[in-house]
Amino acid sequence: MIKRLLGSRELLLAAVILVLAIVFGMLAPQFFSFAHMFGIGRSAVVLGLLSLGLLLVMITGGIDVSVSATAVASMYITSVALLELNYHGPFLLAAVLAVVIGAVFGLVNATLVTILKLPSLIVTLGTLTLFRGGLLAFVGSDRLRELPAKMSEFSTAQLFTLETGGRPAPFHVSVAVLIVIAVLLAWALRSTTWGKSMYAVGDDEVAARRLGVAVTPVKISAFVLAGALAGLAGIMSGALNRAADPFTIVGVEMDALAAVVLGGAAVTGGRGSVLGTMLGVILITMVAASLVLVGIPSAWRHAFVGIFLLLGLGIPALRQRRIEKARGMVVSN
Amino acid sequence: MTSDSSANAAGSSVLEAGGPSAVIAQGITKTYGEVTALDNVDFTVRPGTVHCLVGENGSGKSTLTKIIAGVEAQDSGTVSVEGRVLSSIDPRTAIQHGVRVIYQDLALFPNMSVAENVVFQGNRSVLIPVSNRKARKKASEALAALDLNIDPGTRLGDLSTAERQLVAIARTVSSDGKIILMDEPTASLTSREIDQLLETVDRLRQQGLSFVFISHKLREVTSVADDVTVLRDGQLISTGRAGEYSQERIAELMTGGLVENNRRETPAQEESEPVVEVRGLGLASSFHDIDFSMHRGRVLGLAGLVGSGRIEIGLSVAGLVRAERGTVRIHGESVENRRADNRLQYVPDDRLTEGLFLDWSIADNIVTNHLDGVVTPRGTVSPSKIGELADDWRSKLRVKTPDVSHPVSSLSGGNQQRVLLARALAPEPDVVILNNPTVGVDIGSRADIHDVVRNAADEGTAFLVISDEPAELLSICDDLVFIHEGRIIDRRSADSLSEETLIDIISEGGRS
Ligand SMILES: Nc1ncnc2c1ncn2[C@@H]1O[C@H](COP(=O)(O)OP(=O)(O)OP(=O)(O)O)[C@@H](O)[C@H]1O
Ligand SMILES: [Mg+2]
Repeated sequence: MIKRLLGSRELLLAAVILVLAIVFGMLAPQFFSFAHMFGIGRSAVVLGLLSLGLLLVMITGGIDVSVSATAVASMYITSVALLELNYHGPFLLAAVLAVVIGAVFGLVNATLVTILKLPSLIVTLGTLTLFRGGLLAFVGSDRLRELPAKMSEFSTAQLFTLETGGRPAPFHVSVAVLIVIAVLLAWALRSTTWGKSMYAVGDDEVAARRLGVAVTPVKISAFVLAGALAGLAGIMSGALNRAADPFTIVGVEMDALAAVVLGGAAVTGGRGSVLGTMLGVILITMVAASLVLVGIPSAWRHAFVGIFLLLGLGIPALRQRRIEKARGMVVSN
Repeated sequence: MTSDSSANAAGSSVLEAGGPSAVIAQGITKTYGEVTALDNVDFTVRPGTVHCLVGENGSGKSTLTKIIAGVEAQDSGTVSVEGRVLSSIDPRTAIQHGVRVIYQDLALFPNMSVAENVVFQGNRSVLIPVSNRKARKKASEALAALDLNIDPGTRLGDLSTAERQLVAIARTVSSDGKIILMDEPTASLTSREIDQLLETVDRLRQQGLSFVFISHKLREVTSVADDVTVLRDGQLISTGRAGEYSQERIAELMTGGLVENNRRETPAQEESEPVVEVRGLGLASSFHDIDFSMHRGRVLGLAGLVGSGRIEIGLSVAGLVRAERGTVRIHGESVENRRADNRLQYVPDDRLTEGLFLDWSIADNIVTNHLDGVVTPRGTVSPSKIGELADDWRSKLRVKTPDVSHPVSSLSGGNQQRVLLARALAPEPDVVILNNPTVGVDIGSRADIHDVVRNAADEGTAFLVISDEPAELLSICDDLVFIHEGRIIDRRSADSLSEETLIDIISEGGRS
């Protein structure tokens, strides 16, 4: 039984989430309210989108730590531009603009990684500071409280609101957006040639090329999509907070990394799933949102993320050892 | 250069009976730095035939396959497939023309399932949906067609080397190609699996597929070939119809001389004190009650079928797999942590995943287990000593490279195997365990490697040799222990055995 659970990363994560939820629920009864649940969903949107982007890059064997900088830069540039233009149109167009800007940032990463053949960790560490620094230096460093009206209104765009026990529990549109994107990506990764090629490139780039995969376009697609998703995450963050703050979304790339690795992706590439990543996001967001509820200082949240990260890296290592032992194949030098 | 005038004519004729040639490579030259891997080679595959490509390690066989497959770019020369010159040098183009390849290093995806590996094709339009259910079904059929009993849901990385090779074969023959290049497809297969593969090749040939077949096992070559081409040092030595070539002639053309496959002579006298004493060794499902002793200067062989537990016994003596019962004594003392003991060395058969650091230099790979031998009095590692030691082993094992500072990945497959062997022998160990020491090594070099083993034994090293090849066991071993279903069923002295008796004992499994 335990072996089976260890076998499936997603099941293991789901079990951990369930156990933690029960513990939280016993310590703080309001944990199991729809209001708190939907609240967790809303707080998961930004991390969720960033993690999905990072997942794509990690499947191809790279890493992108610049997603948070891309998010904040796309959001801030979009806000500044729309304010300049005195834009009053729908939020959708603002979102599209942010996504395009994010994709361009992604393309910068992709170009450096594929053409200069630099390691993606080095490239994105560089662009992480470059995007943030460039933003503050050339675009501005003021926190903008007055966003275009439609953008601010988005923060209260609820898909529906449940009334339970007299307390309203709103379900925000952005949660639905995250779910739709996750489902689409899960399908594309599992069931299209593009998806299989992503895994192939991450697993063994040389072999992938020999089997006819256009390796460079596949890698570019991963970075560009990661940028686009980060752009979307940024604009969502701005809208949900009703402010464009160039100093937000700092360090979220580490939470995203934790979520993706917890979900079964490997730094070496070729592994990871959307379901696992989303469970990782839920775990991290749930813990972050519930610590205060049960009276633990929120500063502890980083310690928890660190523990999760270590677990996410340690469990597969143990599992592999177990398999090799069972097969009598422990060979190393 | 000994050139066969009669045979060379076939190389340039464009039209053969039955339409345009499946593959024509003309004037192919390829250099890597100062190494000339191929020198103006012409190579033609007639449609519906099997063309065997033979040559020593590093003679350019894999390079030629890679050029036909569009993986490596030639310096000069052209490749045409079914009468059309390939427009660009790119695997996708070759695949579109129906070229499929079993690469020497397999090119499989360890994190994917067996099924995904079998059906994966990277050259389709990206957004075409693929059905995972159909993929599984197709993979099951492909595996069943080769009579393979591998669960398509297994992660490929969890399979053994032989199973991976079989998966690579299944992928290639099931992918509706027209021209199939097989680079040492049988290197880690047993004779039964090899026979099955040769039958498959024969069946597909009758359906009109064309093959390039590379192997160091000349028995396979003579049994399956329609045409034969011999390469030596990147030069085309001889090409022609298979009927003109016997195993002896091929061996002679490959090496430029005669190869003798001697048995080991003058086995040293058994000493009373064994170097390694294995008593009552057992591991649940793998092997039971294993007793044997290894002596100074003697070579002990473990014979048996694949899956009989031979490899596990070797791993367990080496300390890489923990046995549940029994003891292993080295020089009379029980040693628990044998894997850290430099007196005992293990040489795996899978040089890629278990053996070498491919990106490290040849020299660094050779000295990894023998750092004591390359330190200066001040305790630092001396690069010049590393170079000397590595050069020494390069010449002893005839590793084909211009410079030991080149990465191991620049070596041909068989030469990588020699580096692995050099690494184990460098620390002058008392005991060496060899798991299929000549996988993918050509016959000339096989004799060399056997000589190295014999010489090391004569100098006092005790060897334990696990090999799938009866001839190899007889050639280097003094004593043989037969394993069947994890138990010792017989012990013989190698002198008294013929190859036939050896095979009989192995396959009958003690039933006689
Ligand atoms: N990437 C590379 N870089 C440098 N040298 C290379 C590279 N690939 C091959 N070579 C050299 O080219 C020569 C031919 O190698 P190739 O792999 O074609 O030999 P082979 O006939 O397939 O040998 P084997 O039987 O050992 O597989 C060798 O001398 C090898 O060292
Ligand atoms: Mg080769």
